[in-house]
Amino acid sequence: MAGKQKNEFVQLGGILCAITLVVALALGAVNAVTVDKIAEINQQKILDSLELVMPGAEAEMIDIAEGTTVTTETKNATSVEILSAYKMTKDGADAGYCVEVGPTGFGGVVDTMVGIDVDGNVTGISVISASAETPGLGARSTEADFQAQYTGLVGTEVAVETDGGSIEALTGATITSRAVSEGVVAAALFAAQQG
Amino acid sequence: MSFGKNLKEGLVTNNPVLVQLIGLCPTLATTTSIVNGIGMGLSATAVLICSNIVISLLRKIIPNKVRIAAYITVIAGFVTMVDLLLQAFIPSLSASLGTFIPLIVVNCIILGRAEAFASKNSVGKSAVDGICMGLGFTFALVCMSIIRELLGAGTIGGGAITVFTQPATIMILPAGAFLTLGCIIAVMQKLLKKGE
Repeated sequence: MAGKQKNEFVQLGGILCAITLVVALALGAVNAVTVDKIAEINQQKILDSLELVMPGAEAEMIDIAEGTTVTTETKNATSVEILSAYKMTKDGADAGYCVEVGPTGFGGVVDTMVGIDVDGNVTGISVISASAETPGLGARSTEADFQAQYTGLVGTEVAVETDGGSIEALTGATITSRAVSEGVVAAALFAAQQG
Repeated sequence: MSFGKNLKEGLVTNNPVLVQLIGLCPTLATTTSIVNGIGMGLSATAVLICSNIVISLLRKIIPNKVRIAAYITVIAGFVTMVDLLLQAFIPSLSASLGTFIPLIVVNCIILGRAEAFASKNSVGKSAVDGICMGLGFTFALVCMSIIRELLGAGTIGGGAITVFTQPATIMILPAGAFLTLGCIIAVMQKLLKKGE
């Protein structure tokens, strides 16, 4: 009896193992086909957003530790993760920094690229992904009209109107608007730390 | 059973969402625009067809005691493939559906058809069943998303055509999903009753 039971375990385990192996091999094959393409698309997204927030400048990536956060000193003092950062140069001159920040919005991280010039002014922002925000409300933060408001402001003083700033929040999406604003402040602080 | 009869069953009389009431989570969550509805429907259909075929092929090999584990492994494999392919070739759709693509793994329709149909029928029949049930799911999603996008965003086809500019935003929020689903099911029941 014991022997028979052991046999059954080996048989069940063996079949499951074989299925898992075949699925893993097939996944490996699909991954091999798509991995470069996906990396390329993600890279292109970053390049597009850099060009959008600081046109015509060249970017050089700065190494930052994963999980680096900057805490803003505003009324809402939030901790914002820095996802990536780039030292920008234009025509050979120092042009400031572009900082990709991930402030927390209504449904998750609002991935935002922020351009900060040498004087600490915002050269432009680009919301790369707000897919966790509510469609029709917070997800509208990806629209150009909303983002254009930030251009030219002093980075560390950015805030939505309800917090005493000049940014007109998206209708029904104050939380997302505030998150983007906090992200911009964090980016400005980070740029200032870099000198 | 002929293909036409199967199709009618999947689309209308035994529609997975509107009659069997399974797979409601993606139905409620992803139908905020027509593009999302069609994308989700076709992704799930692709997974359903593939998993039905493979599970039907393996139905004599998979031991009864570990069948659920085996089905889930096969389904998860196909879902991950679809996810990777979407990310690589249709990145905009992948971004807007986000986490709901990986969640196809736990879509009741797929495991339900594997257990109720593919594990007992031939490969050809299972493939037809996958196509018909998948199209039924897609049909339900498209109905939902047309109504929700029109009323909630005032557009048709992802902002391609703007119908009016003062939409009822609640319709693309979760509450609107329940309202729409309830109304569609009610209409469906009425029609089915009439047909009897």
